[in-house]
Amino acid sequence: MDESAVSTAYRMYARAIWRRCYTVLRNEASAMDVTQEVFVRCFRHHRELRTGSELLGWLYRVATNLCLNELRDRHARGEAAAIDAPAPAVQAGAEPEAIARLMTAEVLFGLDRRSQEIGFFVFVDGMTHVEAAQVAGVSERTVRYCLSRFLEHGRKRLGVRLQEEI
Amino acid sequence: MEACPSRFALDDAEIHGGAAKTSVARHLEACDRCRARSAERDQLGRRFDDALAAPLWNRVDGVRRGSRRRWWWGLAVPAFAAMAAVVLLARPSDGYRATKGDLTVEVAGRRAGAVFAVDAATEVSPGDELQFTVRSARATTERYVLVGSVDGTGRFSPFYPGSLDGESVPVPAGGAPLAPPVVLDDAPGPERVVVVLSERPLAARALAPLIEARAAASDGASALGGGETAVRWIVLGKRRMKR
Repeated sequence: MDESAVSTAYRMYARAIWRRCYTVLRNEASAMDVTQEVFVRCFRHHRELRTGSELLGWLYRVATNLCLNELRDRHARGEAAAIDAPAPAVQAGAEPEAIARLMTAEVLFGLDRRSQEIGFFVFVDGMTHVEAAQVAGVSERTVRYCLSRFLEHGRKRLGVRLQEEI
Repeated sequence: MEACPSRFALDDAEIHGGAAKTSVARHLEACDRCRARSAERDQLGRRFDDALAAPLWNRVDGVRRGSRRRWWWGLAVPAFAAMAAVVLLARPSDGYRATKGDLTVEVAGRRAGAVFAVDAATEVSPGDELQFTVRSARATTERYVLVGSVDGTGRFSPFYPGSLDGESVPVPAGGAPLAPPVVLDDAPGPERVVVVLSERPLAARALAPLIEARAAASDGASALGGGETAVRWIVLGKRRMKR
């Protein structure tokens, strides 16, 4: 993708990326900051990127990691860092309250970043394992492994039982 | 009923359309929860389109034009015309000597609204605005200028042009300063500012490795790449940003 294509990508995807960041962070200015950084990185890496769903996945992934950084910083400052209600796909097969509690900074940040990211994709964004694998650029097996770590960690920290099938 | 689509799937369908969009539309008709979420998504999307998209792009584009600087469109030219300018005259001992083209570089600085002189002893800080005026006795032939800086990490960042994808810019007519002024970021110092005057536009990306190599060698080279260029180095100490 050449550099001029980044402005086109902005027109196509910025709305979705900002909306996603806002949904996670619940703060307009923070969502703006994260979205800005996502597209600055898009400029920086434009040669490695391809347009289409693959680019949307890359933007999602970068935005996710930046949102996780923001939540980590809030947590470090002692601010509440609860994440938005879990995605409907998860709620259909799991205990909503437990998942919501699981998606707190307290639990998230006792985990490795990969498991945080995968947990985020599946529990917050409601991605299928196939989608999460595509967006994260890992195998479905890795997704299952990361989710098992995520849920095991949650069980230890919160003492809850979750029905999400791995 | 089909499983509820993920946020990613909703965005993908909204943006790229196709069969996924039809499938999502069918699901929304049957799922109250997803319909409610979709309404919230639409509301947020409108908020972004109406009030945030344009200013956010300006921010992104400003950073793109060089991570080393931000654009300050609001600065009035007359204010800068009144700024004190210090002419860094070439002297054999101060490391600023240009041996070709009788190149003179004037640098004016501004910090927190106050103008200050920039000379060999000046220590700049992140956030300082610098304005460059370039003059050459061979103005009829050396008509293009490239200005940038090699920071303490050895990385070259162009100021004029604004990115590595650009080329030297025309020397402003009538001795006018290059615009807009540069705002220094918090990259570690010193700032080894280089000014390259040439007869033809030069590609910043092609010059970058040569400039970085010269900066690393600290040899104050008066030419780059063997071409018809006049080069001037200005080394500025830099304070660290307080955190």
